[in-house]
Amino acid sequence: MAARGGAAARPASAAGNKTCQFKLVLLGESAVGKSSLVLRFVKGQFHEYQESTIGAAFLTQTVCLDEATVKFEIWDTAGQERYHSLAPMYYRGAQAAIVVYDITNQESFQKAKNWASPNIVMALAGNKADMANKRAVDYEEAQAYAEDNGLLFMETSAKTSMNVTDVFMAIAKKLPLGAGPEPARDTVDPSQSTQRASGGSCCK
Amino acid sequence: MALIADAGLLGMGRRLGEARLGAVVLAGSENGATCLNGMPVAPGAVRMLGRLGRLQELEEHPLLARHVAIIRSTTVPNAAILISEHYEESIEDLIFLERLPESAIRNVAGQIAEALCHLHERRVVAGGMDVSHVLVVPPPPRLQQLQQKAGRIHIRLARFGLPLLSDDGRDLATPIGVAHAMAPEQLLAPPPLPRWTVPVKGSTSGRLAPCSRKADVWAAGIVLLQLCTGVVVSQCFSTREWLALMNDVIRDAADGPRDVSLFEGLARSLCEQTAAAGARLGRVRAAYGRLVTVAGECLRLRTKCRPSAPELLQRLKDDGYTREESDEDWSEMSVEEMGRIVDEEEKDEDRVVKSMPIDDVFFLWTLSGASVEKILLDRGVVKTKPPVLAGALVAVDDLQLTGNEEGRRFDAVITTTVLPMTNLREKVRSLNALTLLHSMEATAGRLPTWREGEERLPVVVKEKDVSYQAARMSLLAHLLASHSHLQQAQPALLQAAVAADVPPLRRAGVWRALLGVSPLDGDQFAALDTVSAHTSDRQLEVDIPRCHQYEEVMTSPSAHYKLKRLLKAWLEAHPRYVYWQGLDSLAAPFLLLNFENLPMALACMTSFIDRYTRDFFLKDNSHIIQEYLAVFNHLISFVDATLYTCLAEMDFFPELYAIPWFLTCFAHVLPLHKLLHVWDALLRAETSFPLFVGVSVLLQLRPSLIGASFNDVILLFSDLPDLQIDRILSDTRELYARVPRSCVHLAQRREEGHTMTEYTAAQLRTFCCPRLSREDLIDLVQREAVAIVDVRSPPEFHRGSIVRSVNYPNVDDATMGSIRTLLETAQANRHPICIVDVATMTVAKRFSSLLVSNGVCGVTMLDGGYDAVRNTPALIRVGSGI
Ligand SMILES: Nc1nc2c(ncn2[C@@H]2O[C@H](COP(=O)(O)OP(=O)(O)OP(=O)(O)O)[C@@H](O)[C@H]2O)c(=O)[nH]1
Ligand SMILES: [Mg+2]
Repeated sequence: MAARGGAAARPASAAGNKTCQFKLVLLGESAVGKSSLVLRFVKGQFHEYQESTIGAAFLTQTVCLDEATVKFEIWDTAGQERYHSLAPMYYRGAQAAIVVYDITNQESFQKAKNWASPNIVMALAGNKADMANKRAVDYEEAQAYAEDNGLLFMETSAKTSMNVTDVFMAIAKKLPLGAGPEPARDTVDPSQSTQRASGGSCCK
Repeated sequence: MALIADAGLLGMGRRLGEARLGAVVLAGSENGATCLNGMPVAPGAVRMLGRLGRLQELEEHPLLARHVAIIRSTTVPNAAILISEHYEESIEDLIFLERLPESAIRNVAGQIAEALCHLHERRVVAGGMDVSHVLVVPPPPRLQQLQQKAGRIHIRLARFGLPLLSDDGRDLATPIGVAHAMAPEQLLAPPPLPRWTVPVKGSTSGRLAPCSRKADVWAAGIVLLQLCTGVVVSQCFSTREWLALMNDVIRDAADGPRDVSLFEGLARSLCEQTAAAGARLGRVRAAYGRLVTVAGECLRLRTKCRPSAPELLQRLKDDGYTREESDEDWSEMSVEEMGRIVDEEEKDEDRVVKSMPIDDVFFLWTLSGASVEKILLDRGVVKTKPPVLAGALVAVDDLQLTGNEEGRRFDAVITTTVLPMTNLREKVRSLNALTLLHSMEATAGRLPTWREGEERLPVVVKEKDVSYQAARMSLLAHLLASHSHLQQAQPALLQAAVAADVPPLRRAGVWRALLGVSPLDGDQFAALDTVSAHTSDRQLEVDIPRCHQYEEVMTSPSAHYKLKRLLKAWLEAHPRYVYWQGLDSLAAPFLLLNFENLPMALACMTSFIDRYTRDFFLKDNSHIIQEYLAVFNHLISFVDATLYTCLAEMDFFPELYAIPWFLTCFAHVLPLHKLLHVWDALLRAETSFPLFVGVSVLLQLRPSLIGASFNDVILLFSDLPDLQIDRILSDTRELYARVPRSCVHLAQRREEGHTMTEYTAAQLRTFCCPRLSREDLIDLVQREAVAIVDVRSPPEFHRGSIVRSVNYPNVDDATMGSIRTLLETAQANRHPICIVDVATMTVAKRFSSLLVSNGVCGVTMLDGGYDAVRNTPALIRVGSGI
């Protein structure tokens, strides 16, 4: 098995502005739209029939902030709970996470609450906001939960692209851009919070 | 890919004979609804796609024309094209041309009643039957005179079953059938009759009152009325006029007795049209009085008073109707006569194409470069106007479709377009008749040889080659038929026959045979509960609408429903297993190939999983998967040590990318059309085949992997490029033939013939190359196809060693001094290198790692070390080798 995750410091550089690379993982129940959010963010596309994710998928995207360029290594994981036994391998060393739920599905929100990690930048995304007529999760409730737990919060729609880039931007702004390669961080695994990772952000 | 009918086991189905192929455009209804997950509900045309099979199932009846295929239109949004067996003349033409003798009326009526009986017994409604749908089957040329003399007419009912196909018209934008054939209750359905006008303006769906069996009987009565009067209603009455007439007749009859019939009222009006009509009706009344009575019964106003189809048939039989199966009675024929018939048949240039199953003919027709849509466009049946005026304005016949809005106007005269077949006929004529007939020999144990190199062409090329497919289909039809008769007595022959490729139209049958599934294996399905709630329901609910949805048929509601039942049945039948995402993708090919036969789909899927993905679907599958991936990693090192090393150096292990590959046997990774080709090859092979496919994928990606960064590599795997399946398959076959089986030994699969030490996945991960079994070593030594390096100490080596092995105890000497040539030769010859150590294999592990990191391919370790072969005299030389 891989001894380290994919986020081991791999410097990227851009002329002038410094470039930072971060590993970000998407978590949340099956069919809430994790893959769709990533696809919208990275390729600007939306597939009605996005196929389910087995194991994990990997994509990268770069966003520019005033002070730095942030390159995200995005790990999109499988939502089915059975696959969680595989998940540590994928989110090991992540510095950021987006926990996604589907605003039309209360259960997906309850499951989203199971993911927590104090030491990484986390966002809660209530996806499928375009389907507000079938809403099952209150905006206020989710927002309150996010505030209590120190999470960024937004309702998004991979379909209309509402707030999609914004979530990633908000995360980028909260990441420690100034720091050099960082020491290992805790993972986001609720059960194995002591796992170490060798990854860290890297700016130059 | 069109949904392929299951011509598999029996291989045949109806022959083309004198038939043509006819195309009918069905405009789908629109509904903007969405389902769970916000995905749109499939449009009407797509919904219809999944239902054809139900109709095909019940068509093995000589009085029903075969519905061959249904395809989604690409030019007209939301339209489907139904391809059916067609004949150029219908009863309508015969009546109109005055070529239908009065003496034939009863016979035609009887055949219609029989066709309706067959349908109704199977709870299918014909729907909107009209004289133009009662086709006349011409006799083979040599029988024409005979039949004419006897005054016999063979009919076949076409265009039946649209209610089933369209969910009682819900999925059609047009009404089913013509107004002239509609029963009073259909016309009287809201809105009420006086204001009732056709076309139904502004309706988004062509639904009238649903078709029913009694409405079918009415329609039969209208056909009879036309037969008796010799008047073709649609020629003499516009829709509007006919409706007005119906209106009057119904009003007149309203005060009549309960079982009042509209026959006389309608007949009177028809007879007013021409003098001949009245005269004919008079003659018919006199000669065939009971027939006219029966027609009257069919046209009773109240549905309850009309006879059912079986009653109708019985009445006609009582009146003397019998159906002749054939005009020829071979039993009464002299040998000379038979000989003459055979000779005459031989003279028919088109006898080959005529003897082909009609489904095969359509398949070959599409291969011969023809396109249904192009023909429909050329003929003006379907018109696409430039999108200047009204967005994409499209007209189907005189049916106007303006995008999705309301305001469609239609008067549903849907015409059948005959597909020209000259091209295909010529192609088939040019085929060597022998190529098609050699299938007989094959059953006797010999396989035909194909034209030089033809078999080796890329499979996509072969699948487009009319003559190749025609020959292959005929061969496999015979093999499959004998396969099922002989209870799989010839698996080797079938295996060999499909080594090069599997014809798409024979795939269902070939797969069943290769998976060893017999028709009896389907029996368990009925006992399984596929309806009750299951813990996986929610996951199925969200996965099925995402499963292979680029494939049109898979988006239809019937496909979703069936896939769900199939998966639930499998879970029910295997309590040990659970639903892992990806199982849906794996089930899809079996569903598509056995669309109307879920029990068979289940039997195939069960056999497949048992053979190729055994235990992957256990609730706790981690040890199985880990072992599988460890063995896969060893295989990479064996095949391409440089690639292995390069991936290992960046910590890029199979866990990161290969789980979906093996869990679903690539079903979640490859699009269906590629997957089918991979599985065609897979099904001929043993359980380890997927590992070889995996390595071949890596080999194809190799240029992008060597020297790339971790990110680039994983990006590549997340979004696999378009893989060349032919190359993957040829690489896979080569590797599968070359790599000793014990190198891919899986403890969980317990393969016969190898004694291997069982290690845990964690232990396996400490090896960087595969192990070789004693049995494989014996075989390789006999073939002189192995280089053996013994890393034990010289004293041990000299006490006893394997023949032709070389002692290389100083494994840390990286120069490989004395064995350099040996290793080079082995690699040049693609021979495995076998490292022999003591049973603990500590040194072997170290040495193999050194070799692999130096890019040496084919490295293996003898499983169990020297002890494993110590007692095999054939392999051992004692006290020699100094
Ligand atoms: N209406 C709407 N549908 C969405 C949105 N995002 C995703 N979907 C649909 O929801 C379904 C599931 O989306 P995916 O992106 O596959 O979900 P996932 O979370 O990656 O699912 P798993 O891979 O099974 O974990 C797909 O059919 C999407 O088209 C959205 O914002 N609005
Ligand atoms: Mg996903």
